[in-house]
Amino acid sequence: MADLNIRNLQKDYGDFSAVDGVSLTAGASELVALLGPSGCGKTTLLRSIAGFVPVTAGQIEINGKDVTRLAPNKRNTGMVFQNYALFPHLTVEKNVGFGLEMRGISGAEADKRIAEALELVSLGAYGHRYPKELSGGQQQRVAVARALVVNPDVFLLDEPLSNLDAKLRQSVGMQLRDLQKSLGLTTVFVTHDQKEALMMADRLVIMRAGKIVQEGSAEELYDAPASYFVADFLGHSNVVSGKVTPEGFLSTGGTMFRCDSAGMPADRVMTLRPENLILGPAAVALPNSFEARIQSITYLGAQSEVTLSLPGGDQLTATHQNRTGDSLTLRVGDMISAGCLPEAVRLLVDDMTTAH
Amino acid sequence: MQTSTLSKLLFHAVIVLLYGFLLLPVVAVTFVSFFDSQFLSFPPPGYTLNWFANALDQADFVNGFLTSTKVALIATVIGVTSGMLASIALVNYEFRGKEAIKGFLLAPLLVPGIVIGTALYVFFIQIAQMTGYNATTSMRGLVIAHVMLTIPWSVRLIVASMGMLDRSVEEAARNLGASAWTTFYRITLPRMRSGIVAAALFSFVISFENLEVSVLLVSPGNTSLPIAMLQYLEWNMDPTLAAASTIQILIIGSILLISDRFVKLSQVV
Repeated sequence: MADLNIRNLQKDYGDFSAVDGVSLTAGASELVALLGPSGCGKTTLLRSIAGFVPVTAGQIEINGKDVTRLAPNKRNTGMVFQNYALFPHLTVEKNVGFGLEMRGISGAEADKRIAEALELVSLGAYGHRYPKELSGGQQQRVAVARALVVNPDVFLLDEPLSNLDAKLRQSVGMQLRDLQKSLGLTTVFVTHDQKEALMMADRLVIMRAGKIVQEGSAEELYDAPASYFVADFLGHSNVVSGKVTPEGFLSTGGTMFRCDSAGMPADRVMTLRPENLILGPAAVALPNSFEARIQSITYLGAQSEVTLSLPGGDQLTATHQNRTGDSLTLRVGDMISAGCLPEAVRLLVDDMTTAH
Repeated sequence: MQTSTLSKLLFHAVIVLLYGFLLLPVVAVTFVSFFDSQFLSFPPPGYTLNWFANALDQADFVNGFLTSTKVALIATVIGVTSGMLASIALVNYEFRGKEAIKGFLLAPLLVPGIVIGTALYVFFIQIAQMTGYNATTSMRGLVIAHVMLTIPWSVRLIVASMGMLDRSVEEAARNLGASAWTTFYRITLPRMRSGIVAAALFSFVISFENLEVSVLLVSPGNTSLPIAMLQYLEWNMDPTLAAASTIQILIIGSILLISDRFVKLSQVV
């Protein structure tokens, strides 16, 4: 397996830059997820790696070889398309064997590799069927087998789980990840679903408006988002406006959130993950502690989402873990203690309200 | 309960009536071709196969049949091939004037046949005066005119059938190492098959039965079957024409049935 190296990639459509100076690497057997809202350029980036998008500027290297100007069929990438793009007029076997045939591999060698690839995705008995005779999940596995049978240098996945129903998504995602790890495939994976990305990727790359906003492991991005956009895109965050003071952050509603604000510019917003806002007696001893009124409670089974109204008018949502025998009773309209650690308070660049 | 049964009955009755209306001429012509009388009279005095023998005895009909078949085959091959290439361009690529070109290719459908025929005749005579080459004295004029008729049908049917195709399938082939040409040959073309077969059938039938465009373009020795039948009709009123029509219906009907075994035409038409 090889590594992928992208430098300053640019794709312009007239005045609009779909991909705007993106540099990205994927190491051998690394699974990189491109994540972002629709229109952020992640699909264009994936398609330019495969060679379907002629790029305006920049360079794409696979295994040290410059492929920027190569035709798609000369790149040795294996792509799984969002709608699987199986050849409807060919059987499963012929679908999987197509790439081998194009490489001049035929006869017993091809048969053996087709059988192995189908075995890999547990479809050994389905070789003679046509794609339309298979379920969506089976079609997806054929697409995976077809891409892998040619030993691609880079494995490309375009929203591979989005056409599966919710129950299958988790298990298929884990199977794909196991396969990717056991074969040591350098993989780039596009998704707009943060759950998929968090579950599967070694490294997440968050894109917005053609640019990379932040990249890192799931934990890094979740715990230390570089900006309000990332904090809001991955999971949920409370956002409080106000101003940075030497002690921390003073909200417009007048609540003081103590945190490390050394060297922070004044124009930051404050974010706080709902699970880091602690409710009840345990909150009283925390460095940031306040009394708030319960405005609404949304019961979600394992958790409840509790919206609090602070005296100055600020609103915060807390995720409260529901446990049998918990003495803490939550009632709408009641006053309750709430609090958080200074480390949980993040002062971030506000890239959501500023023009983009 | 009762109203739904009644509306169901009415619905079926309408369908039966519609089909009856569509099929009545076919049935009537076939029926008449067996009548044992010189002039049309009902009920017929008896039934005979003589008119079929008489139809086959007409040298003009046999020659017309051969001419029509030849013209229709050549026009179909040229029309469907160029229609197919035009369709690929229209469906797969974006270029300036695309809609105008599409409209231009479909235009012969909107112009009355007799106008096309007259215009082409005048055009061919002008060409003949300028270059000395007269297309109206050979089968070529007829072929050129019929290609014009087959192109819009080919473009319409093939574009419609390609509209349902998913382009990512072609990208998948490229991704797996197929060149642009191999992708077209191995992936695109087989998936266009039903559209192409439908286009070929329509083109053949449109050309074979065409009367009004051809009427000014035929020449002695190059008369198509519909024209030969029209000429026969000027002097005779017997059921020979019905017999010739019945044979045509049989031939075209069998072509449709046979091709439907290989390509489900209902998918495209």
